[in-house]
Amino acid sequence: MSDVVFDRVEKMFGDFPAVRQTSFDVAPGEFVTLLGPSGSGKTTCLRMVAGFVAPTAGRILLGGRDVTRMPANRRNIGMVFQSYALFPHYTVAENIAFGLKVRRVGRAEREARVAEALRLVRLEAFAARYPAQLSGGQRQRVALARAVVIRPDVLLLDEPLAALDLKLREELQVEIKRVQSELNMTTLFVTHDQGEALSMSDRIAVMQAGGIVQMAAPHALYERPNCRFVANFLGRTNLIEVEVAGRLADGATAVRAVRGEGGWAVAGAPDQVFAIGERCFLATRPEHVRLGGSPEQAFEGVVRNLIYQGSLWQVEIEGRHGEALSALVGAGDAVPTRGAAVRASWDPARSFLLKAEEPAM
Amino acid sequence: MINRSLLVLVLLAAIGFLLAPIIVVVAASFSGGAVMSFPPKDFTTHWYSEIPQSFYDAIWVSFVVAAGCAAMSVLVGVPAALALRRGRFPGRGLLSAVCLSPLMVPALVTGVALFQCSLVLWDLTGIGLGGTLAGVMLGHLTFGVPFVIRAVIAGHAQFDLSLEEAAGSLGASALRTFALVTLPILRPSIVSGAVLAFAMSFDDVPIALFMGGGSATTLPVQIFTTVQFDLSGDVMAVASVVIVLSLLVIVALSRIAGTDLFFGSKQ
Repeated sequence: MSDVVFDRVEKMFGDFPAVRQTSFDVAPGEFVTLLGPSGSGKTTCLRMVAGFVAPTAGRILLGGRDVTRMPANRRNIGMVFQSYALFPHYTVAENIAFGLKVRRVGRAEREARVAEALRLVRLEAFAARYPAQLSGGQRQRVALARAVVIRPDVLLLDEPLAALDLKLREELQVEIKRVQSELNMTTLFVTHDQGEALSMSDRIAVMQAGGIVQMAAPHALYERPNCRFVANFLGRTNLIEVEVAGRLADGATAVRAVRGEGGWAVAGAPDQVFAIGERCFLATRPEHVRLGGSPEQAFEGVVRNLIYQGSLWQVEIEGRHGEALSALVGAGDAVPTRGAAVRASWDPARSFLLKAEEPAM
Repeated sequence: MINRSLLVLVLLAAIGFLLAPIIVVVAASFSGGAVMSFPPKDFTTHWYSEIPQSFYDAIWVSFVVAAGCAAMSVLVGVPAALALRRGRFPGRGLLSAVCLSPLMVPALVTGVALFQCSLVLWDLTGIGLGGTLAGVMLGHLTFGVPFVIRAVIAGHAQFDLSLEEAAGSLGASALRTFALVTLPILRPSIVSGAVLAFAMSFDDVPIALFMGGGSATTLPVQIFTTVQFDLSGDVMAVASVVIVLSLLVIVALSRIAGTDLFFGSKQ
C-alpha cells in the first residue's frame, strides 16, 4: 500500500487550472520529487498534500486514510519550508519540541525525542540557541529535525534548499538524504533544480503547466525522456529535426536530416513507434557527442562558440543549414578553435528519437 | 571632525529645547512665593504638601481610564488589524482608511461629536455615558484603537505566514497556533500600540473635557480647569509628580521590553 495517493486531483484558482487531473503515489520509504519550472503546479500539489490548499476535485490519501477534507493539523505530516519558518521566539530545542507539545507527549519522552532529533541533524550543541543565531544551513537542519521528530506519515519538502548558497545546498542535500534514509521516511520533495532531483530521488515526476509529463526513476528519466520538454529540463539535449528513412538489420532506425544531407542510425529509441517517413527529432546528449569519428554517423559543421566550464569545454557547432549541436570535450583533449570546420559523431545507441508532437496534457 | 561637533551641538540644542519646559516646571515647584516663578526665589517643598485631594483623585481616574483604554484598544485593535491585513473582502481598503481616520480628526471635534452622541443615547435609552469613567474610556478608544491597529499592521508586515502553516503542519489547531505563534511574535507591536494608547489617553484634554467631569475628571482636565483661575505652586508640584511617575514608567518599560518599544518593533 502506498503512503501517499494522489487520485485524479485537480485545482482551479478561479479560471486558472493550477493542477490538471493528476495522479501519482509514493510508496512507503520512497523519496519522490516533483520537478518543474515555476508555475508548473508542483508546489500546489505539495500544499494540497499538506492541507493548506483544498483540491477542486479528486482524492488525497495519506497512509490509507482519505484526508481530502481534513485540516492540516490532523494529517500527521512533517513539512520543511523554503523560508525555514522557524519560530523566532523559541529556542532550537523548543522549536523541535513544538509538535510533541501540541500532541501532549509527556515531558520525559519529549526531551528524549528532541535530543535524538538534535543528534540526527548534528546540532546537539545548539539546543539553547535562537533561530536568529544560526546560519541558513543550520536553520534548515532544525526545521528538518522539527518535521521528523513527530514521526509523520510523510515528509514534505518545499524547495528547502532554494534559499541557500551552492556549497551549503550540496551539504544539506546529502544531510536531508541521509536523515531520510536513516528514518526510512516517505518523502515528497518539490524543486525546480534538476541536479537536486537527480541526485536525491527514487522517482521524479516532471511537471509542466499543471500536469505530470513523465514520472520515472532518475536514470530512466535522463536516459529515456518521453518528450522534448523532459529531455531539455533534465540536462541539455541536442535535437535535430529528422525523418525516418527505414529500418536497419540490427534493429536500429535509419533517419535523415530534414535540412541538409546528414543521415544517422538511431539505436536507443524510446518505447514509441515511429513510422517510415515520419518527421521527428533525433536526440543526443552533449556528453555523448565526440569530435571526429566515422563519416557515416557524422554531423559536419563549424565551431560557433566555446564555453569553458572548468573540467570541460562546451563546443557549440553550427551545421550548414543552421542546425545546432553541442558537444562536451574534456579539458585535456584537443579543443578546436572558433570558426574551425569540425566533424562530430556519436554512438547510435546513445541517441534516440522523440515525437514531433509534445504529449497533450 | 567639524560635522561631528556640529551634530553634537544640534543634538544638545534639541535635547535642551525638549527638556526646558520640564526643568522650568520642576524648578518652579520648589519655589517659594504666592505665584509661579522661575528662576525659583527660595527653595521650599511646601507646595508638595499643599496638593489638594482632588488632584490625587484625578491621577487615579486618569490611570484607570488610560489602562482601560489600552486594554480595550488591544482587544478591539488586534483582531481588527489582522482582519484588515489578511481578510479578502470587498471594501477592505475603505474600511482600513475608516479605522485609521480618527487620528486625522481634531480631538476637539471628536469630543463635541461624542458629547452629542451621548446626549442622543441618553434621550433614546436613558443610558448616560457623560460624566462617567466608561464614557471617557469609550471616547479615548477613538484614538486608542487606531494606534493599536497601526502598530499591529506595521509589525505584521514582517510576519511570515508560513510560520502559521508550520504550526498547523506540526499539529496545532488554529487557536493554539494563534496563542503559541501569532500572538507572541506580534507582541512587541501590540505592546507598543498599547503604550501609545495609554499615553495618549493619559494626555487627552478635549475628549475628557466633554465626556468627563464630576467624579470622572481626569488629571489633565483637573489641571486645565485649575490653571484657568490660579497658577500657583501646587499645580507645578502635581506636574512634577506626574513627570517623575512617567519617567519611572518609561525606564521600567524600556528595561522590560527594550527601547525599540517606542519606535515600533524591530525584527
